[in-house]
Formats: sequence, C-alpha cells, structure tokens
Amino acid sequence: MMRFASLLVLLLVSCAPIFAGDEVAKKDERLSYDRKIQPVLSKYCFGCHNDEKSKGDINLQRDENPTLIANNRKVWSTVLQVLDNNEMPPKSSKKQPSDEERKLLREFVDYTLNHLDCDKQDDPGRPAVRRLNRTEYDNTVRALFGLEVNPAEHFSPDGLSYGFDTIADSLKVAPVQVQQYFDAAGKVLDTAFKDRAAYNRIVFEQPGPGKDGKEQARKVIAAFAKNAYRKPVDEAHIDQLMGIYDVANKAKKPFNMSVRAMMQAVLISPRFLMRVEDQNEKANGPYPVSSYDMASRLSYFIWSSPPDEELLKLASENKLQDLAVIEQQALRMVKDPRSRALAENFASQWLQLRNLKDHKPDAKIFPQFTESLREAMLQEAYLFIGELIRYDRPILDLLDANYTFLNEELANHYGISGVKGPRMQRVALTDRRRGGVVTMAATLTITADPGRTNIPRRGNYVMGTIFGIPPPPPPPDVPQLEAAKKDGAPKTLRETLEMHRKNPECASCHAKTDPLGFGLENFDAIGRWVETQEGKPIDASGVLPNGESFNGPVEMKRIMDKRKDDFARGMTESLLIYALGRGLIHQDECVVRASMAALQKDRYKFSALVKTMVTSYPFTHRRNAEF
Amino acid sequence: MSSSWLLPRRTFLKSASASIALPFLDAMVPSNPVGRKKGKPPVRLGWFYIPQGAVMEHWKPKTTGKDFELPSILKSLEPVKNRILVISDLAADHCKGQGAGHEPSTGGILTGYKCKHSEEPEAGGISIDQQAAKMIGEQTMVDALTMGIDPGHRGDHGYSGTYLSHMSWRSPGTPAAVEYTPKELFDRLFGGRTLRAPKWEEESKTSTRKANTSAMNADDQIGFSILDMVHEDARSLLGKLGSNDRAKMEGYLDGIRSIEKRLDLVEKENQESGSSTSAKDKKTGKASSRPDLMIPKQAGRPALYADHVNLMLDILVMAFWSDTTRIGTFLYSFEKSGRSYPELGVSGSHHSISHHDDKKENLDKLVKINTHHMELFARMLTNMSRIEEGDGTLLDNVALMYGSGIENSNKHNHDNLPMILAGGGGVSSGGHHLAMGKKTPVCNLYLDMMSMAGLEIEKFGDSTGRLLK
Repeated sequence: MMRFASLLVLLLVSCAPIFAGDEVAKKDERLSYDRKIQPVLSKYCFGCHNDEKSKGDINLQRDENPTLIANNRKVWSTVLQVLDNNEMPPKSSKKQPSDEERKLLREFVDYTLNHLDCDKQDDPGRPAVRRLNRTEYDNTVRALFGLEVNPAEHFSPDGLSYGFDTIADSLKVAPVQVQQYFDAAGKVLDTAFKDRAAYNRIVFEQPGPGKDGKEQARKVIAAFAKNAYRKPVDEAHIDQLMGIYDVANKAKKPFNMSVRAMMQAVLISPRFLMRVEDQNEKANGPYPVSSYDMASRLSYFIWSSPPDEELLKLASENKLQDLAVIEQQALRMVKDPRSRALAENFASQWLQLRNLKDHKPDAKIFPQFTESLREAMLQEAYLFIGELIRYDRPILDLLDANYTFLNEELANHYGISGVKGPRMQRVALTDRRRGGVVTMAATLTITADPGRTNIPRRGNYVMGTIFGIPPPPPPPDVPQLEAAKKDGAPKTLRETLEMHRKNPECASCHAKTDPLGFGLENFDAIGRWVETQEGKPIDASGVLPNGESFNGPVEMKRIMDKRKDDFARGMTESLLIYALGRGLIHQDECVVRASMAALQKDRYKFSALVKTMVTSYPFTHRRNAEF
Repeated sequence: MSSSWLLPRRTFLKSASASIALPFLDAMVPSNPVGRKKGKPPVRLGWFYIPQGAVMEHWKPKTTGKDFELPSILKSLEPVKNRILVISDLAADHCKGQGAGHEPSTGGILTGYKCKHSEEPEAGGISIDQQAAKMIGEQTMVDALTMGIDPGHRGDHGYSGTYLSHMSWRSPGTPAAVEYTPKELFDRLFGGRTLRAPKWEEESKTSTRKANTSAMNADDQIGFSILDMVHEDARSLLGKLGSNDRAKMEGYLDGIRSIEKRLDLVEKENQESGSSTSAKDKKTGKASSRPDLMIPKQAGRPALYADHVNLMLDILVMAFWSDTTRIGTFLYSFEKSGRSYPELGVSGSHHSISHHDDKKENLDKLVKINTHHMELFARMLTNMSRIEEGDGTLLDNVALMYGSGIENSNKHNHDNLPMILAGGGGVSSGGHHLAMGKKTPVCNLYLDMMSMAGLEIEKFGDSTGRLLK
C-alpha cells in the first residue's frame, strides 16, 4: 500500500506544473533522493540518527523515500531548522558538509515538505473503523435511552495515541471489552425497563387487540436499531434480529422480554459499538462520506455524542454533502452546550488537564489541597475553555485573558477577594498574573511534583504543549549532578539546573525550556502565588537563547503572545488529529495552513478553526479499504 | 471449611426466574490435558510487573546458591522462600527505546521484540502469556486474565501511551484489555457459579461436549440466539474492512465466542449438577479446600492501593484454584506512573522518585515502594501455599515471574533486571539465588516457564536457550 501511495505522490509531484516539464525533470534529477540526497544524509547524519541510535529521538534513516519524509513533517521541519541555524552536524563533528551540500539538502527537504498543491487534494488517509471510546459509549447510551447512566465507567481504559483516546488505530477491540459491553447492555436495559419514561420512549408499541405482537416488535426494534446504529438499517438485518424474538417467543417469554433480548443484541452489535462507514464499492479513488456518516463525524467530533434529530434529518435528505450545510451545522453545534465535550475531551487531553484527576500533592506540605479544590481547578479550566468555544472567543485567550471562573475556595487559593460560595462564577481579572491556561492552578499543579515545583517540566510543558514543539528526550547516560557545592552547602534547584546547563549535551535544550519554567516559579506546586522560598525571595527571571529576557508570568505572557502562531499551529494540529482520529499525513498540511490563514483573518476566533476543519478534504472524504 | 462457594448469578437476561444460583457439579476436569500430567493439577503461569525498576542493592542477594539471605526488599518472601528463585543478570534489550526509557519497557517486556517507535502502537510480537493462552486457553472459561491497577498515561517522544500501560499483546497490533475494577471482574468471572476446585486426581470421563441445547433453560437459549445473531452479523461486516480493521472485528468475534464459552460452561454446570450427588463431593472434600480470600463488594477502584492490589490478586488465586483460567498478568501500575504512596510515608511521584540522582532520600523512598509491592506479592504466594491441591498446594503448581523491564530509571537501563520466579512450577525448585554471571535474555526464562506448564517452545523473542535446563 505504501508503495502504491508513494508512486501516486511521485506522479503528482512530477506532473504538477505541466508547462514547466523540463524544469521539473531537471529538479527531479537534482533532488533525487536515491542518487543525490541519501548519500549526503548518509555521510553526515545517519551516523547518529539511525535505526539503532536515534540521537535526540531523531531517526532520519527510517524515512527512506520522499513520501515517508513528507509524512513525517515534525521531524523534517526540525531538520530544516537545524540546517538553517548551522546547529547540525554538531560543531564537534569532524565531518562537515560543504555549503553546496547543505544548500542541496535544504532545498530537497523544503521542496519535499512544502511543495503542496492544496487545490488538488486526493488523500483522505487510510480508512479506519473507530470503536466508541468510553466517553462516546456513555454519551451514546444516554442519548439512546434518555437516561443519566455511565456504564463505561469501569470499562478497561482506552489506548492513547498522540495523547488522545479518539485515535482509530488505538481503539482496538479485545475480547474482554466485548464481555464488558455485553454485561453493560444487560445492566442498561434493566435500568431502562424499570424507568417509565425511558421504557415508553423505546418500547413505544405494545401488542393488543388487532395488534400482532410480532408486527409491533418489529416496529419497535427497527426504530431502536436505527437510532442505535445512527443510520438506516436494512430489512435483512431486522429479520436477523426478529430471529431472536422468535426464539424468545417460542420459549413463552412475554413481549417485553422478547423485545429486550433483541435490544441486547443491538447494544452488542459492532454496528453500535463501532463506526463502520459506508463503502462506495464503485469508487476508484476517494469520495465524499455519506450524509449519515458525515452526521456522525460531526457529532462525535464536536459533542463526543451521536447525531441529534436535526443532523439525522439532514442526513435523511442527503444534505450533508453540501459544505455550506456542514459548516452551518458545525456552527450550530458549537453554540450548543454539548460542545463542552471539546473542552472535556479535546482540551483536557491536549493540555493534559485530565492528569489532575490522579495527581496527588503531598498532603503534609499542602493540606489545603482538598477534593473540592481539585474539582474547582478542573471546572475553572473546563468552564473557561467551554465558554471560549461556545461563545466563539479568540483562541489566544488561552494564552492570556482578563477573565476566568472561580468559586470562593479557588478565589481564596488565588488570593482574589469578593467571590462567595461554592458555585463557579465568571470573574473579571484585573491582575494579569492570572488569566489564560498556563497560569491556572490546574496546569501549574499537573506540571509540578507532588511536593515541589518542577522547573524543567513546566518549561517543557510551555514549549511542547503551548508552542507545540516538544523538546527531544534527554541524552542517555547523563552524568550525575553534584548534589552539593564544594563547601558542602546544598544547592538550590536553580543552581543545580544552571550547573546542568553548563554541560553542552544538556545545554542546547535546557537553555530553551528552563527559562519558561523559571518564569512560573512564583506559583507553588498547587498553583498558589508565593514570593519567597525557604526565606529567600524567588527569582522568576529567565533569558531565552535569542537574548530576550523577562521576569515573572506577566512578562512571560508577552513572550508567549509573540509566539502566538506557534501556539495556533500546535493547537490546530492537535485538534485535527483529534477530529480525524489519526496522525497527520503530508496533505493534512493543507488543512493546517488553511486553518492558520482563517484564524489570522478572523481574529483567531475558534469558529474559524472549526469551520475550516469540518469542511476540509480529509474530514469530508474517505476511500475504500485496501486489502 | 466448606469446599465450595455459592455466588450470585451475574446479570444476564435478568428476570425473577433466572436469578437462581446454580449448584455445582464435578465435571470440570478437562478432557484434553495439554500441559498437564495425568492426574495432576496443571501448572499455571503468571507475569507480575513493577514499574520503574528496583533498588538492586536491596534486592540482589549477596551470595548465590541455596543458603542466601533475603535482602530487605525481598524479606517478606521468607515464609515461601523455598518456592522462590531469585535470578540475576537477566536483560531485556528489546525494551530499549529510541529516546524513551519507559514506554517500551512495559510494552515490550513480554514480547521479546522491540516496540514500533510510533504513536500507533505495534508491539514487536505476541506476548508470552498470550502465546500460552493460544496453546492452553481453550481448556478454561477464560483463556488468560490481564489485570492492572491504574489507567494509563499519554506517551512521550513519539511512543503511544498504550505501551506504558499494556504488556500483554494478543497480536502485535492489539493489546489485551486491562481489567482494573475488582468487583466487575469478580462478577464476570464467578457470578452465578458455585466455585469448586476440579478433582485433579481423577481423569475426566466426560468429553468437552457442549451443553445440550434442547435441555437448556429459556434464558440461556435466548442468550445463545443473541450471540449467534451478532456473530453472524459481524462476520458479514468483515468483508468490507481493510486488514487493519479486520483485526478489530476478529477481536470482537473472539469476544463473542468467549461469552458463548462462559454461557456454555455455566449451562453445562447447571445441567450436570443433576447427575452428580453432593454426598460424593463431601467424601472427597480434601482436595478442594476453600481459600480464605477477599471478595470485592464495592464497584470501582478501591481507594487504598493495597486493598486494590489484594482484591485483584485474590481474584487471580480464585481463578487459578477453580481452573477458571491458567494464565494471568498483573501490572502494579503503568510504567512512568506518578502514583504516590502516602500510606507508606512516600508522598512524591513514583516516577519522579525513580529518577533518584543517587540521592539517599529518593533511594529510601524507592526501597519502601519496592518493598511494599513485594509484600503484596508475598501475601498472595502465602495464600497459595495454604490452598491444598493434588499432593501439595496451589503454590507448588504455579510459575510466576515478578520483576521489571527497567533496572534503574535513573539510567534507563534494561539489563541487570530485578527478576524472581515464584512457585514450584509443578516440580520442587526454589530457595535459590541463580546468578547467570553474564547478560542473559529474560526470554530464556519464558521458555522455562512454558516448559513447566508442559508447553515446549524452542524460541521466543530474543531467547538463546533455557535457563534452568
């Protein structure tokens, strides 16, 4: 398959501008990976960045043709960067490329990554069935029965990829999970059959005079299956379900129990548990997803829930093929309170806020950290992000904002007065040491150790999650830090880290990340503002490698604002991974660029991002499975 | 001591008439004794994983051979020392990751191959427990148990978080789902059954025939018709899927089959109970004494770590004892776990502490965690040693590996691993400290464990030969 895809891309690349055929041919020869580029990489790069060694977590040897390189954008943009900055090969290396070789390599990588014809997109990615994850399962069952139940609470945890639980390739199916679904189906039906409202909603017909039991059962199960599967069901499938009715009926079960048995089958059917999209058997290439599948793509993306009546109605009219309708629906959905799912499921994983649930600050040092405080911290983040999404505020509010959500306990924690009671309320911030996600207690707590702050981790968070550029892992066999000064007095954390940075192996990365952690040093391990540490005033200053310096969070936010496009790109990439349920491939760069352009044009408003994404080529298209 | 338990029937087509508990019968003797010597209990296999390595100074015995002294972390094993083999110098080169010290340690430990460096998880191969399950899993209600305590964490450096929290792989692309809520697992395994140990000393005269469909109670008939229907439907979908998704549907079909098997077993127990007299059971009561174990009452995850672990391990003991399964894995937590242990006076994150910089305060804390984990293991072994089975005890008939894929988180090294083999393995061994003297693949140990269970395989992962032969 890979071979096929690569051939396709090569064909496209070489055919693109027809009028300039000769030039392209020349370029192709000059930039031929096998003949020209691979030898250069092999001579200067593969020594450290190969399948075995992969220094700095970079393996360049693995991507053995331009297609693989194009699909591994993150790594190869770094290559471009270090080539431009003359950072690689390291100065200590004896083998240095000539200016010409460097130029050639640069041109090749730039061309491979950035020569994109976004008007001719043709790769929606490999089609993949998405099993409902635990959140989606709960929401789907709730919508189906109108019951506030959470049967998935004790299911086996879903696998995580790219930090998300919506990735098709990680949502595998193991037998134990099927057993869990089976048991959950029984329990949910028990609850539903005891609840009058839920019961009447799903078993809306009963046998009676002139009403044949079997006919009524068929009506009931046909409607139930359609709702459960989120699309029309063919008669043959209903016939299969009715086979169960017959067995139950023969065993002299009452109408209810016979219908219930069919419903249990629906609830463990792969059509319910997984999103199996319609194939277009005749299609040769990619094609637009069916309207019903589009309804599910939209609803599980924005709501983590099944499509509502309006979406299903539009699907039944086949209107979800129209980009304008799709866009309009997405905007409607974002304004619906259910869009809070994007805060609780997307942002909570992207920003790692979910980790707060299992984070355990040292109770001896921080007796203030109560369960209600933990909940308030989480709610602050979810309410803030939820409002940003629902009321279409600029995503830059995540970097800094003049409002947040607090209750009395959290306000006291922040040293803000005038907020009363346990209810979370919108609070205007006059003091900009708070405001934005980075200076929220939730974020500051999850990036700290249980007993103390962790400067590199906070720096790493700002760099990796906020700027979207995760630093490489530390080199193996880092020499031990000396724990004490020569005179025997213990070092402060800052002193230890400064020493650490004298080691050139460590310095290149820590010089970029640590200052960003130092800037947050006034926030303790549970996010309170503190001025002194062990009697000494806290030094929250930092100097970045480019010479920019700042002191404390207010000034640091200015630096963050300068890098707002790094932030926007990181968020865009994350949201696209979450929405598509897969890692990004070469052509997805077109969606990222279009999103960035839309954001910049429309004051970074969240809707610009959503609109671009739901109407994008990969979101609206699929291709048939390959065998 | 009573020789059986009566347990509430699990929820399935629940109606008043169906919620009777089923009396037990003695027909559980497997007729196809692969991996079992005639008239003897089979050897059950287990793999226990502690994240983030151990402080070897307090783990590795000072002397080798028979008369060694248990170092502090291992002290709790004293009551069962004659069933303990401490093995030094084992290594798991396949746990080395590119830039990631922790992710491939759990993900790769039981496969013997490297994990793919990818956010889309793909282990290098099937794991050894699942290999065993493929060979003997068919004989028991559940082919293998996969258990843990904590949900996972996102991965770093381009590795999927799935690697951190999964060591058991049904196929390279599909990890076994981890069970971590004791009550739910207990109900699923044992609900509606009267648990008994099989009479291992008797050879089975019954076949592995299925329960008689016409004699089935109505609920189970309906149950089977539901499973038949979804099975057929899922098979019809298979044709539309690409190879990647076929694996999902096959996992699904295996799941449906496993429910059928459970239903069939319970139904068979029900039908055959009529022909077995309880008086006969009482006469031969000796072989199946009832272990004194904890039964989970509350849904969800218990708040106290030790309670949680004990409940999970007791389920494993019960499942081994009643021949519900012969294979299990258990994760004390996922690799890179930030769990803190305030109940031990260890408040910091386990992962952060394990990057100890050789500081005494960190090492002391790490020793406390290592010791605690071992104590919970020792408690389980001691329980096993109190359960009579065949001519000996359950502990004589298990082979359980306990250890980590990392020695020292501070170095992220995968040699000199902390490793123990517990249990008699069906033969009398143990009470030894075996130092290999040179770096030896941990996969070699898997060959020995498989052999103890009567499963001869020539090679697994990077194995170079058996350790103990």
